[in-house]
Amino acid sequence: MKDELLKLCQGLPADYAEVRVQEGTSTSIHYAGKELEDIGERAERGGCVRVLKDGGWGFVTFNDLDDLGRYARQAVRQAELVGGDRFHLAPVERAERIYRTSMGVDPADVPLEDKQGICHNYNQTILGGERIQTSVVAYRDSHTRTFFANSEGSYVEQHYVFCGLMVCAIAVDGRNIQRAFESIGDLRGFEQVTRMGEACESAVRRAVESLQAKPVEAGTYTVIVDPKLCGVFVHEAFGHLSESDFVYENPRLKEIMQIGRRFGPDFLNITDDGSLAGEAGFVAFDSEGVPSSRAPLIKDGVLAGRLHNRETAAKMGERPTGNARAISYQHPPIVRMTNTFMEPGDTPFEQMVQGTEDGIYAVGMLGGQTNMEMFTFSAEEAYRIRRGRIAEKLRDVVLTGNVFHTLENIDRVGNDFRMHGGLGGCGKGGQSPLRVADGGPHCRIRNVVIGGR
Amino acid sequence: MRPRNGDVADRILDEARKRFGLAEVFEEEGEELSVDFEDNRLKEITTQQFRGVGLRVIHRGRIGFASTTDLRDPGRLVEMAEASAAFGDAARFEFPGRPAVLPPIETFDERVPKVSAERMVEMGRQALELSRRAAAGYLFSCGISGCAERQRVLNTAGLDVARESTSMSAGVTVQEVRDDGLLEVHEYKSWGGSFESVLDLTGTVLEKMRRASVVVSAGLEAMPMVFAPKALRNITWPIEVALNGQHVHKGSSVLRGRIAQQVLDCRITITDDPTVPFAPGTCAVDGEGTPARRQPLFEDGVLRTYMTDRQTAGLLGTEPSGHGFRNYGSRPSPAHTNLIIAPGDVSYEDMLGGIERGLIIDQTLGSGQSNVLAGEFSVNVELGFLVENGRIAGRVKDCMVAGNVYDVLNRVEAIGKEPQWLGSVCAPALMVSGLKLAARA
Repeated sequence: MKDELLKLCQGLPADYAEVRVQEGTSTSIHYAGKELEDIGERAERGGCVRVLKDGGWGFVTFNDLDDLGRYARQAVRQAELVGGDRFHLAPVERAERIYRTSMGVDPADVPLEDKQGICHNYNQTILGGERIQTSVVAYRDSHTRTFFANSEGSYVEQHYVFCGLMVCAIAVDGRNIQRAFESIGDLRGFEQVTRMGEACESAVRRAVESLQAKPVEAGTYTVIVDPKLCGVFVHEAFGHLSESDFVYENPRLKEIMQIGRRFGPDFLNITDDGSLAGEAGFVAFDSEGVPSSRAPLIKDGVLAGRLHNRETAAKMGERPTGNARAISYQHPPIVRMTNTFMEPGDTPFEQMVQGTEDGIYAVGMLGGQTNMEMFTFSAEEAYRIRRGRIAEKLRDVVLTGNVFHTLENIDRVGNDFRMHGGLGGCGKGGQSPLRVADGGPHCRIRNVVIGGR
Repeated sequence: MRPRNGDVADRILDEARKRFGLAEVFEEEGEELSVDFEDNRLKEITTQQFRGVGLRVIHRGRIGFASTTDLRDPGRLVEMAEASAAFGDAARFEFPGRPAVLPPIETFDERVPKVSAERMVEMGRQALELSRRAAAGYLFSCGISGCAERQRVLNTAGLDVARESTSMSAGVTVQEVRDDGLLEVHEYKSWGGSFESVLDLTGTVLEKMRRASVVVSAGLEAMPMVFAPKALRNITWPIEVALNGQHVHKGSSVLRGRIAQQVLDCRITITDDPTVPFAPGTCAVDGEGTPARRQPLFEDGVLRTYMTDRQTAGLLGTEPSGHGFRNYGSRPSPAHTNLIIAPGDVSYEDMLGGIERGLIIDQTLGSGQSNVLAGEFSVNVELGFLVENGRIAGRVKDCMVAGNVYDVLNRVEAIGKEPQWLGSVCAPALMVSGLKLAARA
């Protein structure tokens, strides 16, 4: 494989060329209520060629790997048609590596029967809950092997094993339908999915409790977010803005995103770190063959760095960070986050609550989205805080903010910390889901707008 | 399009027939060409060639499924399906034979595969020029693509149906960074037939950019709201989740047990129509060979039918509705063909003209992050306009609107008469009362 791929890239009439071949299998198990709606394996094999010539990119993807030369020539022709101003990618060291994730138990060594048995037990736990109408238990593992070569002589082979589980309890009372989730998913191996029994019981309890919760009233609130929601907040409220492909050819945004600009208080630190082995967003090398790194995005409240691929780094005169990621061979690498988190501060959670006269405690996450100006993020559960105490349960809490201003409103950062991966992932530019992890401590944000009745 | 796989699907079916007796192969193959403009320049041209095969079997009464894009060893696919069937649920359906009559449908426009990359680049350049002339500070991005594909489903009951289809899609986004933030307006179109220009989308985007140039503030207040087709589509998709027979079967649909009941305002009719020429969801049969047909989902607000694939219909004890859709890597599950929300009789201008103080919601952010099963939505108004005395006063930003879609569709004030296709959904504008805007006062 190595010689063939290197020869292909190096023989092309182009400024730069790369080829990726991907092979893999995934196993999924999906219970929905009593039904086992899916169980089994899927196999995938495909590849792509990407070519840069005279400032234009050509990209060709395929499942049929018999005639790589034809696709490569087609990619060259497409790049020629794009044209533009010639540029060079930011220089990186030539890489030559075969990388395999280390982990605990390889899910490939666990018989399908055992995986099904575990999921079945979780499903029974949930369905056995009083007032539980139905359930979802979704298991997935995947083995992905990618072979990367480029015209600069880099060759990187990587083998990742992802494994995760999501459970959902659905409680129904008349037309009132409430859900609660638990999930886990990263590159650490199979063991963790065997330890979700208590999580299933928690999901049951929380779904049933939510039947009594009241819809939140629309308004502006002081909000304490838990570590999981803090991770989504950081990802949506700032992470995407630090992806340089939004900035590098946007003159006004470049002015705004000057390194050194203040975004938040002194005690705010936000980091993206693709080199955290085992976390869901871990990559040894990105999809351009660049090693991952720890990138401080906000340090002591000011903009300290951003995420790059080799093109954005070159055009902004900065160093590549190893954040060019493609979800599969069917897509080109684009600038993405990896493991993104707010670093812990010094306020104990209890103190944060006690110091809040009137507010909302928002826990867990259903999702988040940003358009680079505004963002929304959605709490799985929420409670009212009154006079320094956690009070009644609320539901339907979706929060919004402005990426340029909301970080200023963070006034407490907790001394705890948690990272979370899970079965889902991040979506951008038609590429979803990309495995990422988000994390942080508890933190308190003032003046958050919440939609409601 | 020439099939590149020859008879791989037939060989897989033959092998599966020998092993299991009952089997079905779903094969997908195609090619898509796209050009991308980013931030005022042509950036990339992409070709995607794809093909994949899914094998579903019924083995000793249980369902097994496997899929692959690696066709070097069809025997491996058969083994994977067998392993799956060892645990699979009991089959509550039979594979259908060939329908006696296949209605003629129009899904393939032979002009689409002939639209060259050069032609797409030209369309994009014209639109970029229009954007540049509108304002020097605008950043224009645009993707234009054309796709030709073939889906074939064949089974051991004698079914062998292929759907050859084309589609052309375009999305235009214009962005402007301002002192008070960042404004981004986008429009999208997708159709089975070819088109010659994206100036229509670009013109609409630029008009909205112009209207959004004035920002006005609003507080926490209840007011009439007009959901533009795009926004209506974003808040109504929980209804599709509730119409999904799987959720009905499990009791997690709020529409369970409500067939023939008045659920929505009597002016709301929603039809599933697989017969519209060149619409994205048009088909003669669904993804497992059940004939597709035009049928009302809600008729004058009354719930008429759920959407089912064959297994789900078997579990519910109903006839399959022809909504078993899939790709090569998934089993059939309920989904609409073309979902058409019937237009009303009020022009957009008249709708706005009648508003003393209200909001037009055009683009939303964050739909689907709420309790979708219950029909809840809570969205940021990404692009919204405040209407005062029948006129647009300016853009409202940093605010949210929340509600329940079943409640909203019972507070209908007016339905627009100019529907818009958004992918496989066709929706009009809709004006409702009683919702509250949450903005930072």
